[in-house]
Amino acid sequence: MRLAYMILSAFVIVYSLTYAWWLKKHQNLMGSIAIAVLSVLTAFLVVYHLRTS
Amino acid sequence: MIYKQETLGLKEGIAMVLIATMARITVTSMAGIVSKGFQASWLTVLLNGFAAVFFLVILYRLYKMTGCKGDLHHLVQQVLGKILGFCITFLLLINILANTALLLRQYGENTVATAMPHLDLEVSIWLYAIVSAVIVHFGLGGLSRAIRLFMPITVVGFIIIGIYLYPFYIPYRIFPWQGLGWQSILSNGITGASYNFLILLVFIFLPYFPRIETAFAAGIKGIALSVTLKIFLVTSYIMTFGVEAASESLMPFYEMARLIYLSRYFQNIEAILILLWLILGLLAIAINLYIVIYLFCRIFKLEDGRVVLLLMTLCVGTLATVPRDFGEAVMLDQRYVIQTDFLFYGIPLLLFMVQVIRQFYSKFNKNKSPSCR
Repeated sequence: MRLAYMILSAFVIVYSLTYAWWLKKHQNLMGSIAIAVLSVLTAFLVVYHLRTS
Repeated sequence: MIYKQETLGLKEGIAMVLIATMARITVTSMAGIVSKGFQASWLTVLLNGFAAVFFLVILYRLYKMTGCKGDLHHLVQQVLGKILGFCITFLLLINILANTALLLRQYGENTVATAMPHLDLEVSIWLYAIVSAVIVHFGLGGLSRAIRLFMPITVVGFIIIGIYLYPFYIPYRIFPWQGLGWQSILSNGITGASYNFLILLVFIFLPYFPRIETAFAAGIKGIALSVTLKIFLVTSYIMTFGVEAASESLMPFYEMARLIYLSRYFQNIEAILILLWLILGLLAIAINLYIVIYLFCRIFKLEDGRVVLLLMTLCVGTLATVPRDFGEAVMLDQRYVIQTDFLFYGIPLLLFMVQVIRQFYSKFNKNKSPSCR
């Protein structure tokens, strides 16, 4: 369960960061920054959850 | 997903408002309402409903004054300007994100406690999150029609609970009907108004309604039905358990359902009623998640919400696991309700005041300009 959670979270975060990079290329800088910030915050939350659970 | 040409009718609007505003009452909030309002809890719920109507009427008047045809984000930007409008919508987004996480946690905990005691809490939360994300993936059309189909079952289920509990009713338990007095009723009626905060979804999804009058009617009828059902449930709850026992329970809805006794051969129907609130919770979480993604896409100008859906589900699911235990989650939920009151009253009043002042100055300048020349 823990391993599956880690792998899926890593996949979603990398996928979202890739989308953020794609958005930057397509001139939506604001959306790109928003998704990148949300991805990083979610990554922190996932790490916090893994450390405390 | 987000910008598809979907349409919402009156019945879909009513059903969405009903499910979104009823969701909290089936978890722990009913005990919270009784612990504050005592015997007059039903009156508190009624006042919360009036506050929601006040919120709706002010926003409707604003739409009429500004002639705006877009959604709430568009209206806020039109009245307050781009930067302040962005900040207000972002606040709404954060607030509804927190609401989604809290609902997810409470429904996950309730499912483990009532239906599946051997299930891991995290698995329960993630199951709710994933199923809600799948519902959201079908878009607003699928979501609203599913809710419309489910609404009559909810209403009938709640009425059945209330009716079949009648052998346990002791009507003296709702007296003295003023509870702790008028001051307490008024303060609780005003401060708990954000239980109906999601009534604003009719203005968030306004472009999908044929006319603004339809959205307004859906909001009014939905909140009227929701408040009527809540009053019915709260009164039944108090009459069944009495104020002291009712205010301490962590799973009021389940405890009401398990008391129902039909006959020797037809017992324990709470198993069916658990399914009822489980689906209600799933749909409510899905609405919340959809609103979060919709607002995120609107303020950051994204055309497709599907990519954000995965990230937002992960974020909400992980946020839901942050409280250490159920008690902390319930305490956070009560704090959330109090803090949301500021947004509930603040946003429409701020918008209304700015618009009135703007109109006053524009008239003043028009009247003044000929004499200056």
